[in-house]
Amino acid sequence: MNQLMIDPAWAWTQYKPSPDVPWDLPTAAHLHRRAGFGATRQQLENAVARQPTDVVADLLAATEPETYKSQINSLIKAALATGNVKRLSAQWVYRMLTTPAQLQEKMTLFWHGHFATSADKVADAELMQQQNDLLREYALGDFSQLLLEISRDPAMLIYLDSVSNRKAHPNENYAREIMELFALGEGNYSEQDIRELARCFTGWEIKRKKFRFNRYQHDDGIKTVLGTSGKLAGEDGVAIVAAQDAAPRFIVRKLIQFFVMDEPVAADELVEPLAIQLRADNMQVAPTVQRILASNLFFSTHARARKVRSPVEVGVGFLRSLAASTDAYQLADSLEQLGQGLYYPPSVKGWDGGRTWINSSTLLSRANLIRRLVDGGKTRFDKQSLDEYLKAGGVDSSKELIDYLETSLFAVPIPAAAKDRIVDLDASSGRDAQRRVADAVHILCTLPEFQLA
Amino acid sequence: MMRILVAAWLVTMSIVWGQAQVATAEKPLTDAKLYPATSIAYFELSAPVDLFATILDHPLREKIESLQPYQMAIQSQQYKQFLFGRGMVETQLQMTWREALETFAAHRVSVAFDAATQGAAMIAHGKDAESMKLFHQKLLEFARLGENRDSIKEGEYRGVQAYQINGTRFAAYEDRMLITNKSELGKQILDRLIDGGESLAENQRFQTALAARDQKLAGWGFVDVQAIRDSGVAGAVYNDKIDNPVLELLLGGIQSSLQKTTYATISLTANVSNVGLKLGIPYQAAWIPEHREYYFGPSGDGRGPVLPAVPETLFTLSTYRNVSEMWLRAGDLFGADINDGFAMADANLTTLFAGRDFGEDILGSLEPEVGFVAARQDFSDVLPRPTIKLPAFAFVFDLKQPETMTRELRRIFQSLIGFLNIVGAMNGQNQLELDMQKIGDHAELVTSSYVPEADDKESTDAHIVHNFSPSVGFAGKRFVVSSSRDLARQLTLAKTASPAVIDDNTSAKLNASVLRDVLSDNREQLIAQNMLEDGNSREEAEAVINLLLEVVGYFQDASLRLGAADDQLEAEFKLQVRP
Repeated sequence: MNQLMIDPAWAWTQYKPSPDVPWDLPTAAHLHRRAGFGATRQQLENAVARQPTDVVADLLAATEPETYKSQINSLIKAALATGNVKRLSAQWVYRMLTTPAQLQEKMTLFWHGHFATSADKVADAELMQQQNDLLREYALGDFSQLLLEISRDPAMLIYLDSVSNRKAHPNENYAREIMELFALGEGNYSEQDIRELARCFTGWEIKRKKFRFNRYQHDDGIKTVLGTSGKLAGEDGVAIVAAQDAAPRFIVRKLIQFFVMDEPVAADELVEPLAIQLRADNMQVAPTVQRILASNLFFSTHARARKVRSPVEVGVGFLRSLAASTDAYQLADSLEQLGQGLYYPPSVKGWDGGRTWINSSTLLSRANLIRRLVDGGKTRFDKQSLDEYLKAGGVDSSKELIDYLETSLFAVPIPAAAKDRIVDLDASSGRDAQRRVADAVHILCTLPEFQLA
Repeated sequence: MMRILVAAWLVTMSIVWGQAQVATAEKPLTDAKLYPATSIAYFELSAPVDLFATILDHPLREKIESLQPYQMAIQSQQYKQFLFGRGMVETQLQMTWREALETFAAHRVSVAFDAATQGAAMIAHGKDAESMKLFHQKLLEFARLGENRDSIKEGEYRGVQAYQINGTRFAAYEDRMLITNKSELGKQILDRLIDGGESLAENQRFQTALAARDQKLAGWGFVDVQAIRDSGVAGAVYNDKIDNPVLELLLGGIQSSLQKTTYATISLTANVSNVGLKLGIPYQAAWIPEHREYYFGPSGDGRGPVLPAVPETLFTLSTYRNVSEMWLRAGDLFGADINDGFAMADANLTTLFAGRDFGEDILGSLEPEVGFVAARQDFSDVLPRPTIKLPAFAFVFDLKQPETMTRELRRIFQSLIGFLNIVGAMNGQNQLELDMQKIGDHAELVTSSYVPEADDKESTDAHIVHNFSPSVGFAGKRFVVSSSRDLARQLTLAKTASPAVIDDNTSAKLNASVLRDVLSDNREQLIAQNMLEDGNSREEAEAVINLLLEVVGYFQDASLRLGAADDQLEAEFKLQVRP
């Protein structure tokens, strides 16, 4: 496996702006793309006026005000009243677009892919939202506790065919997934550990959409899980898994992949310092995320444009960068068509991400999504048309338009040939301003460079 | 800027369609003499100025203009641009836009479609020749300032100046302005303006339609159905089959009439309290083929029932449809695919209805007078209270043989609830609890209601199913199938009206004030929907929904009736404004 060998001490040292890596608009845009779903030009300018560490700290500290939460809860309530998960997806898109707690939402999406559970199988909007709320509550919190809560989450257990677990026939599904996919990774447990952990979970059931412990079905014999023996209950089993050295390594490696780069995989040496910190922080995720986002590595060329935008980052990121609002139903549908249906991850492994987001079909669909968003009657850019919005932002020429979009939407410079094409198009076109701008944005967003985050 | 000017001018002119009417001492009844005899459709606003005044001086306008969203809209850049353009037009014309409209369309505005040239034309009969010449001249000047000035073509026909902008031809002759998309049609109209000629007015069918016209109309139109039918255009309309069961039920009888009728008329009425649109065609009961007898009845005079009045009625539909006959005649009415669907539905429904043949035994046990009632539900004292509050609805039938069918239908309903409980249990859904009530000697109710989960009993945001308590009621001949227990009770116990039938085949009515209450009950849902659909913030969504509720509140009701009488089939839509 291709691994990134890099000096861990340098990598995780706090980033200090320098002539080589200045704290400027593109760097601030990089931070907001990764730690959230993008930021407007104004937000980027505000960020640049401050120290990067302060901006990162603010991203971590940001919470949703009570009034906002209450508005979102009314959207959730409306969706649950119909039992329609698609409506829940639209609600989540709306939240991603509007929440002031961007990092919390990005982490919620991270955990949704990590503890992947699909409404296709669960078929219950209430349970799906219950799990989503749980992921948000622990998004930057205690991983061990989240692991325990998710182990008793009705949607998760329904999804993994674990609604009943009797001592006579221990169900090994969840025991396998918690070690393989949720906490340790392959190679850090044995088949015997799976069988023993499954015994710990006996008596755990879902009845009438609620978790229940059926003591009559619990195997209260001695079990040995990952070297620890005793009359272990399910809670003990989860705690033993979370206490393994492999657990913080597994989570840190995934966080690096999520925030820093799709490829190559971080080497053990690079992972170790953060794994030690995560354990030292009692598995509290926030300090580790903060260290990643404020690190030399995060702002270095090893991280810049080293991720492929997920469909959510394409759609929501485009809109947020231009202060836009749109039809959340339609966007949620488009995300599903592009392979990232919210509440509908493809398997228990979640989304593979990285290069798998891109193929000839999705590349075209991504371009079409941008076109639909730009042309869609319901898409408004800060309550205006796109050309009005850009004009208000001081964009008066095709060159200024390119500069503006390059900063807001691109992780790498736009190729000169593409820039020339936009300038030529502008000069030769007799169309109205709105159409010209829409065409230019569409052309730019079809570039391979736009696919990089 | 020039585009704005031209657009403002055109908008100004197009609004003209809603106005005029100055003195009409020698005003001909219609503009039909000006259109060629080959014209197949004609519509006019007979008194545009009156109509314009009705709209612009309506008290509702002031209310709408005082609404916050309206005030916000007029602050927009686009509106300011429009105002600027309109101001320029007013300056050029030296009159306000309203004066301009009233001058341009002082006497009448008419439009027609000519089959021979495949062209459409509009004639505005203005205040005087001088004004129309001014409009003609200014329009040309504005067009010359526009982006497509090179495409303007000028010409002359019989001494009348005409020009063409983007495919549309304009000419002014005396106090009339002619606008058309076909030169040939324009010439023919100018010929008739100058020295007359054979025209639509000589069309026998037009004359017959005109003779029956009510003089006090805001607008009136004529369609030469026979000419259209003979030309082979719009063949689908004259097909024997609609091949869609819902459309067949709604329009089947009308379609049969269209196959025979010779013309259609459209009448528009408008005053401060209501707007009405009436479509009429000559009709004979004999035109309806046997397989569509279900629609108007065997003698063509089937009437809908008078429906019992219940509180908070949102919507009523009263109609004559022999649904059993339609079901059994599906083979004559629909194609093979639809009939396959009918056969499958028949088999399933027969199973569901405890082995009784659905078409023959179940639908056949009902009289053809069918009523549908929807009413707002009051959840103020009800728990669990659903988040989405739907209106209750019910069908009201008369049984042909109540003495035998009451028992049958009661048993079938009970079986149906049992079936729903089994299916529901398999899917983890709430169960229905059955109850029966005998009320006096003649009425009985069989009700069911969803049993709430233990922790849902006191819920004020319960699942949508708690809108429903499926029930049936029997009272003599009356048979009620309702989505809610309360509505079933009200309809079952209501007194039988006399006379028992209305004057029309079909009548529907929507009560706007109850609609407003129903929407208000679901305000939170509507706000949420708007936020997600339009991307609005909570405040913006609230403003939109408040506006919707305000606007709905300005109306009293909307009604639709379909009636066949005096050799005339009429469909009439009326919108009543709250005083």
